[in-house]
Amino acid sequence: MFPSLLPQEYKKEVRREKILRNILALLSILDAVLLVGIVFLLPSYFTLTFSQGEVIRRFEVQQEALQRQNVQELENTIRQINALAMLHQRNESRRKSVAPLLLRFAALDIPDIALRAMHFFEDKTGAFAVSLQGNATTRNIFLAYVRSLENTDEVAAVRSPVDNLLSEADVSFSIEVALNKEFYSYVTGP
Amino acid sequence: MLQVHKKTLWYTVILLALFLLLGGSIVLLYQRIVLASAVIKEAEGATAVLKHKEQGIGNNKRGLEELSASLAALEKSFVSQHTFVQFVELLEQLAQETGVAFRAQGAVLPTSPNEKAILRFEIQGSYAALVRFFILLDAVPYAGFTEDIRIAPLGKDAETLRASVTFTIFNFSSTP
Repeated sequence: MFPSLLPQEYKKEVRREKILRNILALLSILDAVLLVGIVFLLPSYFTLTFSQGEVIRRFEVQQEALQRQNVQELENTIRQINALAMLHQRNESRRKSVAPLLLRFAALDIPDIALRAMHFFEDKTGAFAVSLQGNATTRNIFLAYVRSLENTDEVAAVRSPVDNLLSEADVSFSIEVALNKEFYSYVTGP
Repeated sequence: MLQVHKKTLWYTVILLALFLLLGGSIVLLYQRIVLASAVIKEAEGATAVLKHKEQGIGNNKRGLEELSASLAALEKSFVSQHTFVQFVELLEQLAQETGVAFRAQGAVLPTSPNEKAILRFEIQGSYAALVRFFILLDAVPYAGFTEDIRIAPLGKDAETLRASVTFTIFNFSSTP
């Protein structure tokens, strides 16, 4: 390479010019890249801008359609039906059959026992009991009847006052048969 | 030389300004694209949810229509003040079927949720007929509970008995 014959100040000017032209080239490239980027982004921008209105319009139409369905009324109806069904189910579980009890007492009846009255009721403890009044031909027959009652699954206890045992024959009795709660009891409601 | 240098400087300044302009534009454009995408995404998501709800509502309505017979039976299993007479008529029918004489004696209808709906009635007949009546009573559609029964002979005729019954109705609805 030949040494430069330019004076010192011109050498500085040339270097400054070179730097400036390099910056110019770089800026040109960057501007070109940005321009290309903008060109590629523009279709996405216009597509999204134009479809945004359409999407929002579809959402509003769907909202209006749902409002027309009267959702609140339907929800209230369903809620009422559910409450009624639950109450019905709960009440069904509280049901108890009294006919088997009457059949049981009929089955326990023996010829020498004559019942005058029967009272099925809820006692002070909340358990159910049956009060039986009648006549037995002999004391032993009465005691056998009481034992047969005590041996029944539905019976929890038989309350028989001592007065029932005073006569040996033609026994007039009054007993109270307490029932097992599993067999018959009142379940308070909701 | 100085003129050439000035021209280059001007070109540099112009390209720098263009760079800043294009840079700002692309950033703005990108932000608008991101915003529009987010709005569209949210709107489409909300639309899908609403469509799903509408479908669910349609299914519920169809379900209610299909179950209308069962729902009617459910409502009928509840006694109200206006339908109480139907309950009494049912008991009269049961009495007729089982061969007992039926007489309603009194009714208490609740005025608050804590009160009970009670019907007191009397039936007369043989023990077997009374038991048959209670078998049918235990199976009536209106859920209830027999709270009290008093059975005693009707006069001197020991075959015919009188039963005074207190029956609590669970399925009582205060609304008609």
